[in-house]
Amino acid sequence: MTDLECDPDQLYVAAARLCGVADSLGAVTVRMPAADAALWGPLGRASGAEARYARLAMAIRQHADEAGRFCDRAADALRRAAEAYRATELANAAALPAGVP
Amino acid sequence: MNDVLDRTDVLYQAPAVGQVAGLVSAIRTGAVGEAIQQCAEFGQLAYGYACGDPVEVACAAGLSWLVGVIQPLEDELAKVTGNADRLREDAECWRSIATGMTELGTDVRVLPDRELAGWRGHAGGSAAGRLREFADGLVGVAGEVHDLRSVLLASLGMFEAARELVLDVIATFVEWAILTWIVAQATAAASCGASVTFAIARLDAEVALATERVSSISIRVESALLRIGQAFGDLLNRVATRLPGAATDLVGHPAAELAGRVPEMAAAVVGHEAAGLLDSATAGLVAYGHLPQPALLPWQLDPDRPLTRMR
Repeated sequence: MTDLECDPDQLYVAAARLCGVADSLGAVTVRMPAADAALWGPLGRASGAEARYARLAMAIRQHADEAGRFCDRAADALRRAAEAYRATELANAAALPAGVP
Repeated sequence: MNDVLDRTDVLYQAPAVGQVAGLVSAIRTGAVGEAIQQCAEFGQLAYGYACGDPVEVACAAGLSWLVGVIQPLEDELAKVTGNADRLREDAECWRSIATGMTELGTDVRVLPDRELAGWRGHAGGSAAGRLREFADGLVGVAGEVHDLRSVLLASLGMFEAARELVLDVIATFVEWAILTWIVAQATAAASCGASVTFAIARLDAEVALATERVSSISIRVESALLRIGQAFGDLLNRVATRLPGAATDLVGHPAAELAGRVPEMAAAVVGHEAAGLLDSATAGLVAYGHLPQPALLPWQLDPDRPLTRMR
């Protein structure tokens, strides 16, 4: 453990996990059904059920995409934090006066 | 007409409806529950109605001329029937997606307690909070997807029930026509054609009755579809508020705008991260009486928190 509030290696591991989650979300998005005009029949089209189903499916897909991007950006942030922690630790060590344990 | 619509009350014995009824208990309140309930009630009415293709029956009985009379009823049949097979496939897709999203949400939720357990301070707490909030959003969307799947299953049950109801009306009509026509033909000579004339007159009345019955079914299906549409709208609003920072009305926001919020969310994590970094650096260095600014300046992650504030 370092003298900082975090072990940078932990952040790298967490970032890798988040990247894995982002990839899995991408795989989930691929499986989402596409809106089919014939799904609800003429009455379904006239009542608006078909259009709302299509919008709902699109919204869920957008959320999955957005969640995947959030994971990627959060992973990047964790990596940058890890680098910053590591650099700060090195700077701290370099700044220590000679003889300080 | 009421005979057709109010004949049975064996909700839990009907194969398709029993499945729907089981789902109802798992559905939360709101438009979703109402839509599924209405589908279940409709399916309940249809139990016991199963028959073959009435047009084939009519043709086989030498009554191909009846097809023209039946055609409007067949057209109504096409109106009340959605694509049940595709609905079933979609429901299965959404099930696997909901399961996947739940698992991912669980993975993210344990992240702060496992990989980030040693990250203390302001930045660590903030990041853990954001990740937990995000995980809750993922699991919440998965719950909405489960509800969506339930509505689809209820819908296909309703479509199948409506199809059976309309087919039953047509079959009953064809059966009546066959019997009436056979009797009329057999007694035509004895009645000097009066029986045929009578049969033709009755035909008009029976056609009107059958059309009225099918129209009634169409109205019920349309009403249920309106509920289903409302349920989708309800789900849409709920989905839009699930993820952190999401807009309350997703419909009015194009994808690009949604994507534009992602950097903001990530920036929030970065901002807290920078704050924690500076705090920790301050604590570590002040303890030794040194502030090596030149080494820290390249790591200004948050412009709003300049390093000079540490002085």
